[in-house]
Amino acid sequence: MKPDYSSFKPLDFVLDDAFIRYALVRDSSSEAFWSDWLSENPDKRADFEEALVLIEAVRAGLTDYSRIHLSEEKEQQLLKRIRATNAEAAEKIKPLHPGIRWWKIAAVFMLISSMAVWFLKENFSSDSTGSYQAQIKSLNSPVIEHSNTSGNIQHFRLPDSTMVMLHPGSRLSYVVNFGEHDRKVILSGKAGFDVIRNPDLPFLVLTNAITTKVLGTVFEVDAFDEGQVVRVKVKSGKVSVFKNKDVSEEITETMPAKGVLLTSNQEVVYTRTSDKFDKKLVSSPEMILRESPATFQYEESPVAEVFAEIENAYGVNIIYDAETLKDCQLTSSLADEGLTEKLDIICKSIGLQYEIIETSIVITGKGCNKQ
Amino acid sequence: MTREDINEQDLWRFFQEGDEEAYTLIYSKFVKTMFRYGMSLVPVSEAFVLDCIHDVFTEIWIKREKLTVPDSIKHYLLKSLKIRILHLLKRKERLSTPLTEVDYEDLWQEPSAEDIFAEKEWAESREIVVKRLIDKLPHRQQEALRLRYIENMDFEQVAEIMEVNRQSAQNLVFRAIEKLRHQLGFLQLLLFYYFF
Repeated sequence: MKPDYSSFKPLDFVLDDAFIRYALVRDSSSEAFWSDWLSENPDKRADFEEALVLIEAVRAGLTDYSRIHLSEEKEQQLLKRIRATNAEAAEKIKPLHPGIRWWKIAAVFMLISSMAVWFLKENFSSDSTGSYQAQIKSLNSPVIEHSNTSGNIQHFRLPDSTMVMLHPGSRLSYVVNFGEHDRKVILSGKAGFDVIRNPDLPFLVLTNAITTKVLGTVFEVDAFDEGQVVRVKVKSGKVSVFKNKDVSEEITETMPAKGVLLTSNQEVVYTRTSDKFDKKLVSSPEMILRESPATFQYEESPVAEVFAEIENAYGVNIIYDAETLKDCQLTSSLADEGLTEKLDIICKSIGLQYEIIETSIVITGKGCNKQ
Repeated sequence: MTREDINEQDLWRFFQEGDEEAYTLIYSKFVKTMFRYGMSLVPVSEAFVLDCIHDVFTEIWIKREKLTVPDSIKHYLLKSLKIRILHLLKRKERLSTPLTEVDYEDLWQEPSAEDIFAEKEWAESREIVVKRLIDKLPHRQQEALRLRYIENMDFEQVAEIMEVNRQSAQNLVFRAIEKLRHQLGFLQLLLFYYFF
């Protein structure tokens, strides 16, 4: 039953399905109906036209929406994925329903951090070149990936609250059931980690050549797929680093014997070509405790005392001949200097030299005269 | 008769019988609309929307024999997509406020006359004026406008997608258009008419 259009105002027209259909898609029957109606109701023409203008205006205001575009390429990719899922369902190869558990997590990430989260499910089956993809494939599980395509470091937390600082051009993946048996992430590129301590669930960073295992610490891994070296830097805590080929199945159970143990302010550089670890101090060591009791204020203090304070504050090892330097004293204020600056000042004022050999600082010199 | 010419209901029945060509045709006919509608609900994540579309299509394939024949395939797919998106986001407790059925009416600040004037001065074209005004409407009113005037769903279908009755769906659209009409002014509208 047609409503009584003769009593219609503009706002009645814009709410009438038949009228809107005419405004949006004119077909011959509606054209005929409305032109007849207009000739019978010439006084309603203004209202009728205002309604058309209103609808046109609303549609113009919604062009941002109507222009949202899905590219041909993405449309085809998605179709491919849908078909793959259907094929799997048909063959009953895959017992679990696709897309039940990881959406949950995806949504959290999307909403909390509005960070790009990709599902690599598709990437699995297709090309898996490069060891990053190969490692993901070996997990045999859907993974969640963070990929930093921006120019800035991205901060986000893993499900166990571990903080990750992902550098530009880097990718990090972890399985959807991260934290159930272990805490394993796969990294291509560079990332810092502030790991929540949990002795029952070792935290593992898998990269193309080496694996870093940690129980709770702050550290950074630099392992771009194409890079020649892999670098692991430890800010605080302890980590062990070992070559992937030495990693056994019992990786979470025991500490592999061939690993390198790193403590605060140490770093290891693994060179692919030589297959060797090179352990050393980081280039600018930081104090382990921000609230360090050390004041670095010295008033004719024996150098042994100075070195002991530095060793404690930075977690480094200073090697010197205590007998030779027993009469050396220092008067200085070093509170604002970094470790190397401190060493520079100490050595210059007493006439000593220092060298950083691997992770130790070696002090040499002639000693001081008794004052 | 080619596949493109057959009516929706027949196309659907072919698909239900397991005809992959019909299924693909349905996909390519409606995926773009689903994508833009999904993106209007969850603008932050293209990947998420694509995943939801994936779920809708794989689910109807599995259940194809048990499905009824919809009056409008587009309506059926948009509704399924929205259900899928809301279902996944609802698990996220309160994080999904923009998508819950909360009416934003109370939260919405009526723009002052100066605001509107400033908008009009600033805007380069009338299209942008309307766009800005629509952007300020409550989310649910915007959604109703998109479904009714872009997707050409009738009010019954809009109501079903938005989980309200027909009258409420009409009210959402009515309030939106009444406001726009008031803010634009009748003169503006006439100019608009000649502009287009």
